Amino acid sequence: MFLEYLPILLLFIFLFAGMPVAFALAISGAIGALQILGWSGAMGALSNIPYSTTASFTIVAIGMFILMAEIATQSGITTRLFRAANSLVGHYRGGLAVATMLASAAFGTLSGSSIAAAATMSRIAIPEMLKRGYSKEFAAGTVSIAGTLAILIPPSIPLIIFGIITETSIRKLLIAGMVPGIITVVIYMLTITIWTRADKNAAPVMEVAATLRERWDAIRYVWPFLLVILAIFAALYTGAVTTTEASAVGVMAVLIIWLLLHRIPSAGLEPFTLSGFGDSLSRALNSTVMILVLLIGAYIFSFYLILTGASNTVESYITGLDWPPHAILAVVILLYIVLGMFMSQLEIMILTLPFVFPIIVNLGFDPIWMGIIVVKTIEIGLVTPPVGMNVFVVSSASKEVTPAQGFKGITPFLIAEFAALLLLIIFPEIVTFVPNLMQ
Amino acid sequence: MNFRNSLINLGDKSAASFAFVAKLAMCLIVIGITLDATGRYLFSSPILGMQAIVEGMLQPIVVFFAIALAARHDGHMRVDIIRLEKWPLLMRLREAIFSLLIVVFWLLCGWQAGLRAYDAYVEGQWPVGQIETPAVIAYSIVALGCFMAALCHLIPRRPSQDGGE
Repeated sequence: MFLEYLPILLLFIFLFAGMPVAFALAISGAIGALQILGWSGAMGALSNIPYSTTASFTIVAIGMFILMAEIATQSGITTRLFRAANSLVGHYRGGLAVATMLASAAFGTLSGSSIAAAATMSRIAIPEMLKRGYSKEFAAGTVSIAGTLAILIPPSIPLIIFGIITETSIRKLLIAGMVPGIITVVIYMLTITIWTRADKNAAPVMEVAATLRERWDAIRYVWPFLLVILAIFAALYTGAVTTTEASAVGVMAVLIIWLLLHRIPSAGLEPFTLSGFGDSLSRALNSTVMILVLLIGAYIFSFYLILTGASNTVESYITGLDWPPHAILAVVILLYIVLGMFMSQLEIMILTLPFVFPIIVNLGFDPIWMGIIVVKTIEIGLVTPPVGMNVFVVSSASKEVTPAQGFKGITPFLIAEFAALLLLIIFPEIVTFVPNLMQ
Repeated sequence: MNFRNSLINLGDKSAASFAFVAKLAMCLIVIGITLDATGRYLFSSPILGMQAIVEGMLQPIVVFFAIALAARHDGHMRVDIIRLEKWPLLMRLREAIFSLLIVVFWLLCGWQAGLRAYDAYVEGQWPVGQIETPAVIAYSIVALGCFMAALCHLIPRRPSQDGGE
């Protein structure tokens, strides 16, 4: 009995000792397969799983969306988005913070990476906010939480991974992220408004409103990018293209827009260079490989779990507890919040979904709704101590705020985040309404 | 020291050359799918076999030819709960054990994929009547990538990339 579950123990030893998660999963899974099937069975798995995991048309979308985000970042569109948002709302109290939120949401439609959003936005928004006398806590808190929008607003890499692991429709998951994303942005903006009204020192300076001409100048070179995103959403919603096709066409469109606009000085984009493009490719390649090797490891470990029947054992144990479904859901959400404090969203999903997803779905919850709730819950871990990756990224990218100031500034937004989560749990239709309309 | 530097350079250059092929494959995926989708939806004329080429050949090239680069950059996620910075010897020992296990893993994957490619070649497994990446090519890509990944994990990284030295 003990020996049967030795690979699970090994997995935890490897993980806590600091082995890369992908290899901790792969090696302990391979040892498990060796133990149960013998040499030839385990080697059969090693010959098949790496190729079959990667050779999938759906999985190509991960690399493509990452590449789209890298090209968009390299093009300097983030600065333009921030300026455009600032020209619209910068004159209100806390306007720069609201502009940061809007720009991050817009950047989230081009990028599925929370860390990338937080890092780029902190270099642009924090110096501007500090220059206008915003408190460091408020500035760091705003940028850190705004970064989390990228993993909920489509195209979201965690939602794609969720779809791959649970075999749920990725197209529906991506579309389902839209309304909760917009609601989250609104709740964050409300938080900014309440905070700046309650504490005038948080954002003391109000700017003169931009003229119509200035607003037009700020916006006119941003809309082609946003149009691409709208076209992608429309195509995904109507089912005109697959997720992978939408991602590749999106890369091409963003690249073409950059090539067309970079020579126009007033567009304010970075010049296109082959070396810059090569850098984008390198970064996209690194992130893609990291995710896909993680998936290979997860599939090898899942293969072992299927052999032991451990998933079924856990599932029948939990469902046999005779707890109300919402109590089990509460435990799962709590588990994700705690895990999110120590691990990244991909690690958590890969390690837990094979166990958690069948339980939640068998309790009668909607799989698409489940995907959004999981991503939203794990998102909280990105800004909570001790790991709180976004806060550390903001602190190291801006160099003007400390992680402690960041964590202090996050607190009001965390309350808002929990309110948003509660709203989605009480009214699941907010998530499921739009995907249910899809063909 | 010179030998070590040459070894490190060899590792970096090998990984970079494989990654260059992976980058080309990534560009080809973008171009291929865009042309295929545009052809299908605008002119009702898709590129035959594009999906098979992308998923069976180009995507494996992107992943397996770039694993070596990720190995050189130590670009994989860790949980990192137990910190050993204060005990450099213990940290080196831990990294050596992990590297060894990872090298064995990639070698086994590469060996098995190589066997599959060889079997497919000997048995003449070529797709007939359908557009599909031949198993010989598909598994050769996996084998090559895995062996390169093993090699790049084995060769020491530059101190600045290692974080521990």
